Amino acid sequence: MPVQSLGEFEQMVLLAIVRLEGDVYGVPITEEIERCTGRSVSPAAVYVTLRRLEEKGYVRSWMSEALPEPGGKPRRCVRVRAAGLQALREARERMDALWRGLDPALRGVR
Amino acid sequence: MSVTGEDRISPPVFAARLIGRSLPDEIRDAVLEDMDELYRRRMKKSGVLRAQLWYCVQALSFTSRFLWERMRPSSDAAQLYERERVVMTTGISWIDVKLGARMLRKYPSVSIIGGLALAAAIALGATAFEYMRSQLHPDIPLPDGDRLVQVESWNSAELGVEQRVMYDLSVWRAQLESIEDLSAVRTFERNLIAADGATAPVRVAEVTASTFPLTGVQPLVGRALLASDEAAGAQPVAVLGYELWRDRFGGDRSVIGRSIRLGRADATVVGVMPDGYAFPHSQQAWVPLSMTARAPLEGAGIKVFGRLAKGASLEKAQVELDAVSRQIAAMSPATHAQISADVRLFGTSRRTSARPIIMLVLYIGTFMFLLAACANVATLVFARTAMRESEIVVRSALGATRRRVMSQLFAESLVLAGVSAVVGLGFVTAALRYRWHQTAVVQQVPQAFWADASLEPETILYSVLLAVAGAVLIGLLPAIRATGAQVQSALQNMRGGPSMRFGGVWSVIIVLQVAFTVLCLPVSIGASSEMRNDHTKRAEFPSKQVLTVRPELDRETGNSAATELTDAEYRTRMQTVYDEFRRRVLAEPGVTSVTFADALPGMSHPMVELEAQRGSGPVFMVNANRDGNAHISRVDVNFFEAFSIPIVSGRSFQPGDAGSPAAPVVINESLARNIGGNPLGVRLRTAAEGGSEAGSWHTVVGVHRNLQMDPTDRGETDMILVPSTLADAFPATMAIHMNRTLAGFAPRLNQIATKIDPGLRLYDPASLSELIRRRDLPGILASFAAIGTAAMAVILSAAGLYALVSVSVSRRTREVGIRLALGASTFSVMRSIFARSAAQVGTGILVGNVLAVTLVSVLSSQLKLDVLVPMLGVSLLMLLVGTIACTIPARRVLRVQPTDAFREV
Repeated sequence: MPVQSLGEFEQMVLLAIVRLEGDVYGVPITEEIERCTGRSVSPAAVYVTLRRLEEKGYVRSWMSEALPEPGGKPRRCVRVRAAGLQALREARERMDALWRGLDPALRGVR
Repeated sequence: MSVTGEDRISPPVFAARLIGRSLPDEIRDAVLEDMDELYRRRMKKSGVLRAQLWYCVQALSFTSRFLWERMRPSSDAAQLYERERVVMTTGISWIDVKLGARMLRKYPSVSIIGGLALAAAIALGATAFEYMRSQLHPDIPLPDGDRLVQVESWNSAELGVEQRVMYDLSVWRAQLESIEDLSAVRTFERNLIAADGATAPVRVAEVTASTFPLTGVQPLVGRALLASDEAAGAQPVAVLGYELWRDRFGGDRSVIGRSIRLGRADATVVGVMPDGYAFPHSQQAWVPLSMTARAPLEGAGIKVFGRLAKGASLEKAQVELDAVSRQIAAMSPATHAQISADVRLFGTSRRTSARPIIMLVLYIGTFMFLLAACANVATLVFARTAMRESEIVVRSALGATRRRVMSQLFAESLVLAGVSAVVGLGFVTAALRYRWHQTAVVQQVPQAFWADASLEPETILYSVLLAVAGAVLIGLLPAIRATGAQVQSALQNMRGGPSMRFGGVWSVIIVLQVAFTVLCLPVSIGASSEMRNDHTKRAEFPSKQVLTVRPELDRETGNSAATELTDAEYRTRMQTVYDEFRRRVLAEPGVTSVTFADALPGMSHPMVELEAQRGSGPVFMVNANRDGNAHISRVDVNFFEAFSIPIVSGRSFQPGDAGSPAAPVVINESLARNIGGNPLGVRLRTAAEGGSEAGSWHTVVGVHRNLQMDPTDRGETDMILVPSTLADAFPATMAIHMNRTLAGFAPRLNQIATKIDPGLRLYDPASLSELIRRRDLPGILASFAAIGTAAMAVILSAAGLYALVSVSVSRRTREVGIRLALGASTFSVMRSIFARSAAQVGTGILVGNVLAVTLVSVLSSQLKLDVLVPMLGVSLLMLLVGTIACTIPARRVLRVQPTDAFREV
């Protein structure tokens, strides 16, 4: 199956899931993107993107057990599928190919 | 885990519902949980207000993103089919919606002015609907809440509700089959006195044990009241409400079995009810009500509640109740010949029977407002459509059907109306929350347990319907005009310029709008400025160093109706308690005086018509300044000294003046002037009115200086002050003058009160300046709303004129260019362009002035300068607004080069 290309925000969401390791849900993903990029992220954008990624077959989701804390409730957890990792790698390769040889030219650019 | 106050503040319900509805079913619960978590984190970091604002913004973000997501092109065949189906049935595609959104950005003036007008109309409609829904069908958050009923007796001999119905209740319980679990409730307030002496009034309900099965709620801790608790001689017990248990007992489960002091009596706690339970209104504790056998019309006043039996309707229950009422009347004709009973849904009021008519008037009124707003917005949309005539012509030429073009124009209106609905609902939600905060938090007015500050889904649905109706009105009419026969002629003559014209309807709208503004704006501005002036004058009264409290005293010596004091005993007790309270408070450091009145300076006073008699001369009516009426107030004998009000003639009150029906009175300078001559020794009484007789005669013994707090057109409002005991002035407000800060003194007052009598309760401690502010705030807000409405009419009139001239100018560009080329003067060109607009504005001003003069003549015998001057001012303002609105598009046409105009011929 040909791998569909990833948008910038889709890459961010996939990378955040990979960085957090294990089963994660919307709140930590939103916070991880905000922490790493230093910009405010709309939760709605994260959930829409997760839904698109799931439609593309890059992540899978399921309802977890209740969280181990007082009043903890079940959350919708996500995990990156192999196809998602492959799409990330390909996106990285495409970007690397475009960047290759440009470092000296961009050295003076701020 | 400890629970703080902030933790209990949930995200805005309206916003949460919006998010919930925008999400697909399979992720809804999980996302709402996540959003709840993010909201709480933000609340801890930035505070409640910012967190709520953030949540509302997120709700809009979710709605737009997921709506977009659903509309997004997809390869999925089912989704494609679904989208096509929507286009085929409504004629509107997602591209139309997208175009509509772009139109909002492209024509910002139409979007802002039209959107605000629609938002105001939808907000008004939503408010009216929400109010009527809460009055007619309140959502009672109890199991079978929609089947709970109240049974109430009406005494037609006394024209009032008859609450002494213990006997009736025993008959109803035995005979009624359509109403189950009939229960009696008596509500009152008591001081809950803690072991450390901390005191606060608590709202208590004395209830029959059947109340708990009736409401179907199990206690959270311990047990509810039992039938055995009602028996005479049973140990006094109490069940606590959740908030009381949490706030006063720290949520300690070991409170069960502990003895608490409620007013003058002790009770053992046997249970705690769950959060949100406050039956029948906002009660915080429940004690047993003894239903011993009573003769007809004997015993304490009670309220009766029950539940409709399965299969029974309200109408059936009423028929059965009528039959039983007739039986009781036959058994006890002496007491019950004039008594009937009604059954109604719990949470509705007796006046509900008249509500359908009010509801109809309200709906028609709000719909007329929507129509007026839509008529205006339609003018703007029509002008916008006229600007795009060439686009419509080209689309028709390329094969677009009339239906397709109309669908697109309608979709654009739908987007505008949809955004307006969101803005309008947001405004209503904010207003409801503000009102809730003012009443429940600032003024501490108890709210019914089923009331909340959020909009119900039915109201949101109603607003959506209003938005669709608005879209039809503002979109379809211009669309029909824009796609009519003239498109064909425009198609045949592509260089002929725009062919759409404004008809007579638009002219009538603009004329009416200008007339409305000329009529209403002077009145709104006058009322608002008068209101603010009055408030400024009242605020100047030295009221910041005066702490006020509202005292109340238990009528019962214990926690049951059986221990109620007689009237005479109660009055004696109240005076004794007050005298001792004043003595102890005066002994506190910083307190300079203590006094009371039924209404303190700056508060609202009752109004009376006065009759006067000088010596044995004839009785004459006093023509007081406020439409013949004077204010009357019952005050403590030291009132003038406490407020440092100078006596300009005669004397102040003396000990011993109070309590007599013919007590001497002191009047203000205004009343003295209106009586004429020397007012001292003149006798005054309240005049007979309706069915009531004239009051007792009072002799004027003094005249005090005007307080300058209630001005009228003829000067200060007349005032008559009657010396009184606390019981006669009830419900009274105490004023404690202090020469130090008021902060922190209220708890000390409670401690003093409880030590004197545990049944003495003090409510609503606030400075007098705060009471004055609360009195004036609704009037000031209402006057601002009136000015806002009139200002909206000015803006809409200006926008309508602007739109009219814009269309007219674009239609006549070629003609003007040729006229200018042939040597016509700028003045003559401008005159021909302005002619129609000037006629509309002139007619509007004329109609408005004629109506205003007629109205003033009917209401008042003479035309006053203070009415005519603002009318003239607003007329000139409308003329100026009309001129500016016309000049801007007219200047465009004057810049046309004659060569360009000739080239198009």
